[in-house]
Amino acid sequence: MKHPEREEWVPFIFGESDNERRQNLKLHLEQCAECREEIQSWQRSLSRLDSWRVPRASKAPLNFVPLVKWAAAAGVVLLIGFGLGWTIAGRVDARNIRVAVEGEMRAELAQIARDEAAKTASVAISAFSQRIETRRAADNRVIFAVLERIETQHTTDCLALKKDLDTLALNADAGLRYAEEQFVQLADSTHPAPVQP
Amino acid sequence: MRTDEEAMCQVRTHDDHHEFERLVARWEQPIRRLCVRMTGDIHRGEDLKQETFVRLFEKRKDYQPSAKFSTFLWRIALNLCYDELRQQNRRREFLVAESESQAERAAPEAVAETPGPDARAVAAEEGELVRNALLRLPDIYRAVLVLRHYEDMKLAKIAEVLEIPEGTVNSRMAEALARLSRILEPRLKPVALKPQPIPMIAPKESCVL
Repeated sequence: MKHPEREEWVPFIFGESDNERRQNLKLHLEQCAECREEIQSWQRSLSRLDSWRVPRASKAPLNFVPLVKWAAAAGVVLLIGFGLGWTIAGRVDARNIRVAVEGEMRAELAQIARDEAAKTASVAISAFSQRIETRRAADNRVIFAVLERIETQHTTDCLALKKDLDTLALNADAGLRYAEEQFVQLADSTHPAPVQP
Repeated sequence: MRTDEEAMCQVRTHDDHHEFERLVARWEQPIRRLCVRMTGDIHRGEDLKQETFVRLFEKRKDYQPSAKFSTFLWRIALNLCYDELRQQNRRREFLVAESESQAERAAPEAVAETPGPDARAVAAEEGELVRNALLRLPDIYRAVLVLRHYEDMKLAKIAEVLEIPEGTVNSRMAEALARLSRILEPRLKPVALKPQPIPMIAPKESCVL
């Protein structure tokens, strides 16, 4: 059985199909359980959408009576607070306040001074260690340069020595060869060659 | 009394505040409903409604007198909704997942305590499930569903507002309904529907178009 395309059902379920198309789709639904099930499921979902209601925005006019009441109450509270403050302020002993506050302030100042000293010491230590590090790096550079120079000198000396040894070996070789020839000549003159039969 | 198009032309050419107020009064409820349904949040929907009319006034010079006012307005509102949803996508996904898991936890209890249920509480719960289900749909599917079902907009008009072919509206709607059914069917109690004939949804009275 050939099923209609899925989007063909959309105008049908929203009542926007033309008559002929609607009749054909209805006929198909009567014969096809698969499509019937799917379209019924769509219908159920659509019917459930109405359960989400959006309340209308209320445009309640402002009622000024409660506002006036609240404003009056706030005024009374402010008045009482102001009166209390005024009466208490006259009886305050400045010396007691100073005694009470002095110790606390001293402790706070001492703490601030300690913090500052620690901070300064930390900065000084940091600067000192940085200077040491810089100096050490400079020394290392000098030492490496000296070592490099010594190594270069050593290589040059070795090469010169090798050259001298080569020359000496060549001279010795030539001397030996000369001596050997001398020995041969001497032997020839002392023992004449035997006469051939 | 002027039509919406004539009123908008007055606003466009003369900055007529009285006509603009009239348009706002006429359209604020449908636009508010759309924004609430699209975002799933009453307060955000309210803000978006305000933004829509602010934008409408800002764009008054862009309005073509030959165009349908409602299409122009729906488009502005939908674009604002899309922008909002894009911006809040991650946060929204998190909230949906949270409320879904809460709903899942709460649902079996509600079903188990069916003797003497409070009808309004049950309806509210079902409404919350529907809201969550709609929020789970991609924006393009939710838009066609909201416009057709809640705003009773014809499929051809939806195509015009969204600037897409009607066939695309139909395929999006089919996909939206299929996805919605997959989400809702396992969660809600069956609704009594006669197997034959297939009930047609009676088209609501067209109020806005």
